[in-house]
Amino acid sequence: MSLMIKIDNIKHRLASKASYAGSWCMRSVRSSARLVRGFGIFNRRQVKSLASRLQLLFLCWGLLVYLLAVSGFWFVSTSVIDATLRHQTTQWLEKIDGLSTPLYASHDINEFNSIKNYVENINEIAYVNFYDGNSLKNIGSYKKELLDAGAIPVLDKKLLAMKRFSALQVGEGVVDRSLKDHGLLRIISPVAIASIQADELLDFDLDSPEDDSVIVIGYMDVGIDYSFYTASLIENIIKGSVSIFIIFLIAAVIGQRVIKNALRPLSALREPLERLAEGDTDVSVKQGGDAEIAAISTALSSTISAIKGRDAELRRLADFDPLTGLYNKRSFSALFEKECQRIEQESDSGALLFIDLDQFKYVNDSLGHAAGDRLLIEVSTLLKQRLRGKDIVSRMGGDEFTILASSVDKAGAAELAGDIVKEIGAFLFIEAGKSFNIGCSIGVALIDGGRFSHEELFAHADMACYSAKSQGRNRYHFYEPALAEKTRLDIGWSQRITEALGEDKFELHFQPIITASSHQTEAYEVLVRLRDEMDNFVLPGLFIPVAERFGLAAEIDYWVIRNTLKLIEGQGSTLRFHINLSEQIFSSPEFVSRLIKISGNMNLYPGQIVFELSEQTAVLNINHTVRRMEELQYHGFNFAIDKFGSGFNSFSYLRHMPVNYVKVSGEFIERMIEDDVDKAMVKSIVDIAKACNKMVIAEYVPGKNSLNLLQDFGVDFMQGNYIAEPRGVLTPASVSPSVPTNISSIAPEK
Amino acid sequence: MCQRIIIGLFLSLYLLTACSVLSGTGGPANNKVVDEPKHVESEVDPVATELISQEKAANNSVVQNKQSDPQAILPAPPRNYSAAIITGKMTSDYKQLIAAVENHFDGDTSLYLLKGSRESQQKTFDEIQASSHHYVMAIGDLAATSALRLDNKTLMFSAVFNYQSDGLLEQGMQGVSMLPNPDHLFSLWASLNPDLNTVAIITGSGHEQQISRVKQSAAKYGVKIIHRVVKNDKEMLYESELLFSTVQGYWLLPDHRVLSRRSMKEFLSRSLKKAKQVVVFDQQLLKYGGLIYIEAKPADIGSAMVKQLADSDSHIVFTRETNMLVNAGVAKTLHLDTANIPRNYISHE
Repeated sequence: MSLMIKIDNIKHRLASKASYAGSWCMRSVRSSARLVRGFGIFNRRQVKSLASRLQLLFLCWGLLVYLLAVSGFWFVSTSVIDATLRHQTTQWLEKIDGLSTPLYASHDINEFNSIKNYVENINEIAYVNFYDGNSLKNIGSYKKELLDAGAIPVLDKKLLAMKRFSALQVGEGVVDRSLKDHGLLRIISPVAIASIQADELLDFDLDSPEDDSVIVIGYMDVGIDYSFYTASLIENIIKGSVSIFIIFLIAAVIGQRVIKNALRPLSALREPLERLAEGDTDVSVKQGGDAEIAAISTALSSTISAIKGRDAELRRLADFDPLTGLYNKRSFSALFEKECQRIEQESDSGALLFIDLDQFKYVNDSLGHAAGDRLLIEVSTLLKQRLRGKDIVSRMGGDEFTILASSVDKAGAAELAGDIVKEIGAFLFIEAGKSFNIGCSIGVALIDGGRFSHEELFAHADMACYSAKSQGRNRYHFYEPALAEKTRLDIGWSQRITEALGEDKFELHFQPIITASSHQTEAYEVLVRLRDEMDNFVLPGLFIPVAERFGLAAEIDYWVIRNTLKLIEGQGSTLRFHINLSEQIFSSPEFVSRLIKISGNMNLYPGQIVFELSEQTAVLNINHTVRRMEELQYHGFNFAIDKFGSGFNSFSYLRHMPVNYVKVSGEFIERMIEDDVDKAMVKSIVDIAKACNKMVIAEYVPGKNSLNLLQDFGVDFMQGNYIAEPRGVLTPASVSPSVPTNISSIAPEK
Repeated sequence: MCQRIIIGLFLSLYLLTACSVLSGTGGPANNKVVDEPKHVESEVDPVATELISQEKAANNSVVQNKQSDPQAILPAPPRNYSAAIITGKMTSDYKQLIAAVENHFDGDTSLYLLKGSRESQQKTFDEIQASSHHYVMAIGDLAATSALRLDNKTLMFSAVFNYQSDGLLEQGMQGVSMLPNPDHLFSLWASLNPDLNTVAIITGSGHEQQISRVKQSAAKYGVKIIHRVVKNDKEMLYESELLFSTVQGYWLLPDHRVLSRRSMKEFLSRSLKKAKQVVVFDQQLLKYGGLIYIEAKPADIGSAMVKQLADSDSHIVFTRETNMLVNAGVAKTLHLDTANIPRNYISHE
């Protein structure tokens, strides 16, 4: 008998047991959580460590796996039990059905003994009742001793009238859930007989059992008690859970140690990182650990090394001059201050040497910055070689160097300064196939007794250096208190020049230049004047050298050019205007572009402008001078060589210089009447200039005899206070050709 | 003490045998149903013995006729009579049987198929009743039991295994048993299993004549037949289980009352598991564990029916020719040697 038994109720009962097991699991989890909190993993008041997080992760993962495992185990177990019970119950019912044959044949209760003997050995069968198919009279009954008789229901027609029973087929069992409260599964199965139709025996299909004639002769009512299985399953799960929980605890302890050991190298990085965050780069990182942590350690070491390198570079840049490698001004000041304190404390002495290279600007301007840089490097090397080990040398900027000589007296300082002057004077800078004598000026300030602050000592050395320069360069000079006043004056002049440039306090004066033939004013030389506090004019001889020393000469020239061009544009003059250019503006790289920018916005004829360049400036770098002159001539400007003849090489250069005018040096003009040599010089210059197709201007014409003689020599233009003094204002009449009043009575020679 | 026990045992056996004799009394007209599933074996059944003697007379004539020329010895039915052939189904066996009847019967025959409702069947019988058919040959259980309502007709049945329980003979019908020739069976079976000695037959009640013939035949081959009478398939299975330890094999006879499809399958399955040899009446049962299939040849039954018309003295006749087949697979499973079996009797594995 193959009974198909629906086991829904079994599942329901197992599910109720599962909920019990689930609640037990949750209690276990909560207990675990409390235990873990005991380890500090869940303590929210503390900052969680990575080890704790990892352990918590593993714990959660483990719990998840455990729950999945238990759920899977429960599901599989119940499924297996389900299938097993289904199979077993089918077998039991088949067997009982077979054993009931004599009982139904005889309705003799004694025939029930065989059934009773059979079911007594099956723990799962709680009771068995057999009913007659027609009367539903109980014809055989068995129940376990411990089973309450009241728990066993009676099969009645009302139950059989229910739909599922009315549809009951032979070979099937129906589960009645009415006994689930008693922990029993009730299965009711019909006891039936079947037979083949009479005429079918010689031709029947064995696989069509539905064609049999079936008669239900009774019912089997069996109660199955599965509590043993569920209890056993839950007991095993509990035992397993306890084992797993113990394993978890052991694993947690071991895992904590393993994770801590694994993360120890990472924790070891904390201290160097904190020190690094505080700016301490002098930290070392211990290498080791797992690959990932080792990689972090290596990367951190590399980072620290890089930071150290960058720090060193920054320190070097902050403390040292990047070009020469010497201490820079900032670091030298700090060292100097410390040395001053030491000297004061130790009653020692020392000296501060302020060095200024004499020819650096010339080299730099003529050969370019790269050559200037190389000169500075060579000089710094020279200085370092000369110094004692405890001396300090620095580059203050530009071509200025300082030397802090420790523990030297005035004689020692003089010896040191003299040696440096001598060595730099003897030093020959070779660049682009040319050699240059550089030379230097050194100011020396003695440090003793703490009478002066280190700032004052710096000023003393600077002033002494200025004094050395003023005295002819290539020498050293000790600071003397008397120097201070003059230096202060110079500094005052530089401030006044800067102020005058800013506030437009310079004035232009114009000295006429007349033609030698007609004595008519053909041009003006533009002269700059500055008024002092008393409203008196300050001659250029006083402020121009200061301006040149303080680098302000070019700005004065720009002021003159700008205002002269404005005047010419405003007056509508057609005369030429001669403007003197300093060496600073002429060598300035931006001079041409700046001049074009100034003149480009004005409505004037560039040919009216004649730039005068002293012979000394012109020959400093003849190639540069020629290029620059040609460049400006291209834009329409003219050039004149001023003070021509004062140098010895002028004649050879004149042939190649693209100048329009040659202005004979005034010192020859002034003495030419009394001195035949000067007269010959003037005549020679005029002759040479003429031979070179240059027009000649004579300045400083002192009187009528000179004027006449210059006319005889063939000078084209003349100027001087005798002819006309410079004037501060140009009238409309004065900007047109006219004869100056001073010489109006002198008839020009025809 | 031992003597008392032995005497007691003998007395018990005697009483048991006496009870069996009393319960089986009644002859062909007394088809008393045996109620008890645990039926005693009918080794000395006097009713069976009497039936066998009747059968012998009939069979002797058949055998004699068969041996010489049965048509010449038996009187032929009157030529001017016609016959109505009734059947409830047109199975292949029935068709063969009908064809044999029509072939051997000299007069006209009309075939009537019982189908539809009771009313339509009644109409069929009314038609037969009104017809001039002198003979009515019912084939199958339904046709045979239904034909009893006809009057003034010579009724003949075949393909009815439970003719005794249906009371066909008592109500004046003659017939041909569908029991295959047991001699053939036991001859074959003994060849297959020389050690065969005990065979059980479980049927419903009312087969004493046929069981007697079987026992008689089995005895020739030294085989003892244990016959059990049961009421349904459930009891049949139960009884067969009880006999597992006693018998070597079973002969499953086509008593539809105690056979269901499920019980046959289960019985064959259990029997095979218990290494029991089972003779079945339907070829399809071989694949479920039957060892030998045997049936009376339908053509032989049809022929015997026609001959029976001329022999009003014989109520039931047994046929001689059989179809048999040995399940080679089961034989191999049961370690039976088929070497001595003719090849045409062995099924292909």
